Amino acid sequence: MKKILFYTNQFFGQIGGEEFAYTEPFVTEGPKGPAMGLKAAIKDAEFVATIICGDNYFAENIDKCKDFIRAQVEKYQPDLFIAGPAFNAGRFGIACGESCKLVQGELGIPSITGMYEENPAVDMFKADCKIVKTAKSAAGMRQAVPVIAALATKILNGEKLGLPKEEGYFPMGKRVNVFHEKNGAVRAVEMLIKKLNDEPYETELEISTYEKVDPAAPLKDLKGAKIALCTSGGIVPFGNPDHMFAASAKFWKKYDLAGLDSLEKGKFESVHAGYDPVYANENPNRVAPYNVLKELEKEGEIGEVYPYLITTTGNSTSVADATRFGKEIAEELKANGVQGVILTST
Amino acid sequence: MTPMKASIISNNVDIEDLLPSAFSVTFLPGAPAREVLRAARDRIHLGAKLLAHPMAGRLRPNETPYMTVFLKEADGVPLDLPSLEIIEYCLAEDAKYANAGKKYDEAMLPDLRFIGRELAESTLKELDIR
Amino acid sequence: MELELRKIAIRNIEFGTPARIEGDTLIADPDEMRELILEDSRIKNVSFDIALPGSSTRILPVKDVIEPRAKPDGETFPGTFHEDMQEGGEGITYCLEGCVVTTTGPIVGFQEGLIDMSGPAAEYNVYSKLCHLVMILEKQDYVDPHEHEEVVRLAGLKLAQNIAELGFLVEDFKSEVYRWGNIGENYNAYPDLPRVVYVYNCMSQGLLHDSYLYGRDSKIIVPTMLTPLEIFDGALVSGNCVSPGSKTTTYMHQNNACIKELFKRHGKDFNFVGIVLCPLMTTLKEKFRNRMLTVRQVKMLGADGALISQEGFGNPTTDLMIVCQELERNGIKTVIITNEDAGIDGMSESLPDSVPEANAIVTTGNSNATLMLPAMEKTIGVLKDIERVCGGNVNSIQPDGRLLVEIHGIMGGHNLQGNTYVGAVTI
Repeated sequence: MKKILFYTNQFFGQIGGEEFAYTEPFVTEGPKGPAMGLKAAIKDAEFVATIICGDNYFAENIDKCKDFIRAQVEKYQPDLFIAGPAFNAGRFGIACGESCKLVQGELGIPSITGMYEENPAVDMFKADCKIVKTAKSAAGMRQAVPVIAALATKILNGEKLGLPKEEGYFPMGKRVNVFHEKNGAVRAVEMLIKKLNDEPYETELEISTYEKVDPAAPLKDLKGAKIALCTSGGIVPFGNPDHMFAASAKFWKKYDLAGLDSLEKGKFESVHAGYDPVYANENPNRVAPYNVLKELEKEGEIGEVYPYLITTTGNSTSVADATRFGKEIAEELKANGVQGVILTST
Repeated sequence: MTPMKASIISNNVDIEDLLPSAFSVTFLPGAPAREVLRAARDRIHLGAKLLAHPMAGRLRPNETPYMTVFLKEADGVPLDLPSLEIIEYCLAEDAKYANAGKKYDEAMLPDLRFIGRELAESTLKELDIR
Repeated sequence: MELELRKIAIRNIEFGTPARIEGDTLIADPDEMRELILEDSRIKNVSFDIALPGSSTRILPVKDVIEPRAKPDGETFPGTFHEDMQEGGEGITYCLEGCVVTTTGPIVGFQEGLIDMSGPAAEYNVYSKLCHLVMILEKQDYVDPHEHEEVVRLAGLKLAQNIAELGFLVEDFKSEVYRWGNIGENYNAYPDLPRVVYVYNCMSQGLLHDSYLYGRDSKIIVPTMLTPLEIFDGALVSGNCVSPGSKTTTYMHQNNACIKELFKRHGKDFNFVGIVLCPLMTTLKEKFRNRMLTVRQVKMLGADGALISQEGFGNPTTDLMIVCQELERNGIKTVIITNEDAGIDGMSESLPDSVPEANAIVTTGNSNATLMLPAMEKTIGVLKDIERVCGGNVNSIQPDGRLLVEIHGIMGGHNLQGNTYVGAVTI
């Protein structure tokens, strides 16, 4: 009998809601929560145990949580690790991704999770494990279970996997060579015929393209220039007074930094859900290096630092919103005589 | 041909006698191709434009250590985005092969310089500057 | 204009005398060939070998691969040997299908790719399925690299034409007849079908990176309209010696897979109205100029659609992309063929340049992917040269004699006229 180790959060682990988000990881024998449904759909395998961990606890104690998971993998010796699915939950997505990355990458045991396509953890972890495409919310659990179960069964049986779209997981973005039945010229001419007839065709290589923005002329001399600091790293005053979103931001903010030389721990924090905020919270200058700009100002390298932090969360933000932010910010800065901008991203 | 302020950055000393006086030349002998590309990138940020695609020929970054970049110089003009894209691509391509293992040994360097010179000569002929 | 290709199937090569074709066996006379090749006083020595499909044989390093073709009333590879050249693509051409003349011998320190006649590398290219008459050339000391490239190129073409003349006496051939009208006739041939033009990119960048059109270096031509029939007759030959996976050998020109496929669908799914040859040069100005001249000719031919084949990678990708973009902007629906350099792990960006209009791409695979090749019983050429071959490196030769190479190092491993079954998918 093959063994599966399962990971879930406080909510799906049936401990409680947001108030239990700081629950430390613990393990319980047998399947719990979504594993019950998976258990029925995966034959010849048993869920030996379920790890349950609060999402906030995981986000703020990643190394400790990893140690815990590592210990459970050593104890239970699973053949497969399944986490989530996390649907569109940001912190849970990161917890699922981190744990799968650890188990598959470091411990060499195949790992599966599931997420909604806009979950930022998809891009962060799709190269590290199999992430099954799910609906936005847990309402899509019933559709997700058979897809995860089928993929799990194939992996456990050592069967060759089909293409990502056939198996229902996000491509990890790896290009692999295959042999086609028709040579390249035949495929190209067939594609051309379809294109000429306005019939659907599939390019063999997707090109990612972005709108190109003409850059401004370079600043010849920074010594007389007024420089502003902008970030899409989600740095806000501690406590997030304006309720900046952790993802899909709809606005940007300008915070007065007059009298400050640095963004200090405890006075600023990151609300960005797309990366591990621990190091940013320890020293917010790591994301928005206001301290360095002020030093350069003192040394005379920069004429003047614009004494505000312009900030938003660049995490699954739509291109339309981001374009609007850019225009608004540019108007604001131009009106205030700013000549150059340092824009940091995460 | 209208005179233009052109410059060459290269780590291939064998091209020296090819170059017309119209060019200002920066030789970085012994420097890896990456440094030649970086020096060119810095010039591009200051307004220079690429005259030729730096990865002429079909030798990949780990197949030859030699790199010659042809630039049209200008200062204080807006950044030429296509030039920046190409030079950044070349740097990315160089990084791609950083761990791939070299395909040449010391004995081949004269031949690789020779091919580099040939390609530079093609470029100069195309530019119609000689 | 009408061309009849008389294809004689060759499935075996032997040395013997007199030279002749017996059934599907080509019998080649080494002394006679030697005499022919040594007519060029720049050649010090020449020797010959045979490599047959399925045998445990590796040819390395390979310069060019040429299909023997000859015309009873004229010459193939027009412009190569005589000043008073005639236009290719008219009359009768004998083709020894299934066999090739393959040239080897070092020109500069780094070397061209390999052909394995069996094993995993044989899956990647069409060359492994052909019978090779291999010519190993040694130049006189005074011959410089430019002349050396020319010596090897000309010797290969000369032998290929000479051998093919043996076919004149053979009566058992498969006949293929191709007709080609003037621009007006072609344009009006199938009024109800969309018109398609083939944009034929060719390397034109410098020594070991050139192609020759009617004997002339393609660096000094502008984009030019060609007929498919003259391509069959060798109007375009390869002077390329670098980048084995993605270069177009003379064989790939003679047997251009795109032209073959365009003819197959011609009159049924579209009207194939012409070819524009586009040289791939080094400077950006030339690239933009060639884009303009190429697109203009495609438009003049009245194209609704275009197919672009590629040669090389990196710098030429810019030409491929800007021509594709300009064609699409002119309302000409375009498909391109390229390979990818996605890194050994397949995780890097596949293409060095891209435009949003390149939305119909056929890929002939990730050339960085590696392949472990078994040791072969026989090597024609110098095995140690693998270290200097594109796609190989100083660690290529394993202690047990196996070879670790990139697909790129296999001749025609990702042929860019699409004459390979290799492709790539995202997982």
